[in-house]
Amino acid sequence: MVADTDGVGVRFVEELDENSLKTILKIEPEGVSTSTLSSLRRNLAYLNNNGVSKDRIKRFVDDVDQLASTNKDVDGLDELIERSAEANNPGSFVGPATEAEYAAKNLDTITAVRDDIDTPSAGRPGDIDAVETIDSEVVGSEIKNSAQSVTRGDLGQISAGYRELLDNGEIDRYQFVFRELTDSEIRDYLEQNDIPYTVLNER
Amino acid sequence: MFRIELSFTSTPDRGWLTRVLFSAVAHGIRFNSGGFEGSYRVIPTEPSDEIVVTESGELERTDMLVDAVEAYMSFDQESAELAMMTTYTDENSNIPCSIQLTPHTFGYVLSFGTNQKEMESIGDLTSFVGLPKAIFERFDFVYGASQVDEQQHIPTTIGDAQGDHPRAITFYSSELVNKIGRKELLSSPAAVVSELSNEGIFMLASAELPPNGEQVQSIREHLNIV
Repeated sequence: MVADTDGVGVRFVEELDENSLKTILKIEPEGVSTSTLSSLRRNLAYLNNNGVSKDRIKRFVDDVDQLASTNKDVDGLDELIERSAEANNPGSFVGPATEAEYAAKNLDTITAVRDDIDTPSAGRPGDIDAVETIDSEVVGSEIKNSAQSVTRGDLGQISAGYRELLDNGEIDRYQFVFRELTDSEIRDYLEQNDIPYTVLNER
Repeated sequence: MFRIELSFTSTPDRGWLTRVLFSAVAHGIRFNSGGFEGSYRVIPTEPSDEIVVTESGELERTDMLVDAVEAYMSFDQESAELAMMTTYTDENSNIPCSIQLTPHTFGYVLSFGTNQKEMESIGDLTSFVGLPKAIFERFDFVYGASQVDEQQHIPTTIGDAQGDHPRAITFYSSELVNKIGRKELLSSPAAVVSELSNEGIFMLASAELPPNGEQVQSIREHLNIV
């Protein structure tokens, strides 16, 4: 990691505590190639040098480690890691990082992340970020780190797609999950339209 | 979501928006077509006043884009959002395309977006990107760029655009080109850099999406962006 990333890797290693460094070096989720894991390690150093805090990276690494070391098979974890390894800016990293955080917090119920679906005729979503089985109900979640990249139009369009999935019996419930939600316009829109949502940092 | 955002500053009027959508249709946009429902929603400040119209069934209804323009014009453009779900068609595919017009600080953003997996399914990403490229060349925009995953929306001022570029895909207006330097942009180590008919510049950082960080970094270094 240090050799491949020049000074960026050295700084990254110096910033992390011993436990986090060990975790980064030991994670070996099933179905993920060693070259992808090498890319992930290099990319985490790059992201740390380009606006992603070391605490956020530590959180991500711990979450992935937890998901990889559970006995349970979480479909899509390999793809989530590949996307994280390719993320070339903070905005592309926080999506999969938040999905990993949500999945790790719901280990008992999570069955898949980034679940590929046939795109509903409403046009969105293209996949379900997290699928859980809760009391024999299938729950699909659309996960966002925050509302900074989201418009109210996005919420309406995605919600229409999830309602179609409900009607088709592909899921029994759906929700939006935000890691943080400070935008009052977005909150008002969700509430006025009866769109179910939860905020991780308010739990 | 993968989308291309184009920013501008003057309040969108009926004639402008109609011409933009007419150009979009000329470059492959259809309404209620290719297996995807057409829908439009106009969302004013007060969400309970939202207008939602959805068209399903066999008949293509591209003519309904005119209704969307009329519905949007009945609200205050400085605060209302327009979000349309359309279908982008080319020789090989039909993919859902969300066209949105949203007010932002100091201006507005017009965007063309689709799901990541549909973007990947096209294979040739320049096909879909040709749509916003044509719109950017034809109309007067400040800046344009891709917004992938949870990247922030693009800025609407030249000054802020100078601190935002380059992204995976970037459209430089002639004014922005003059600020940054035409020669410098055209000699960037990107997969594609080309001049546009409106004296702007189009830049595709790498042939695949997402481009790796090192490639974007090398362009940044070339352009002396700290």
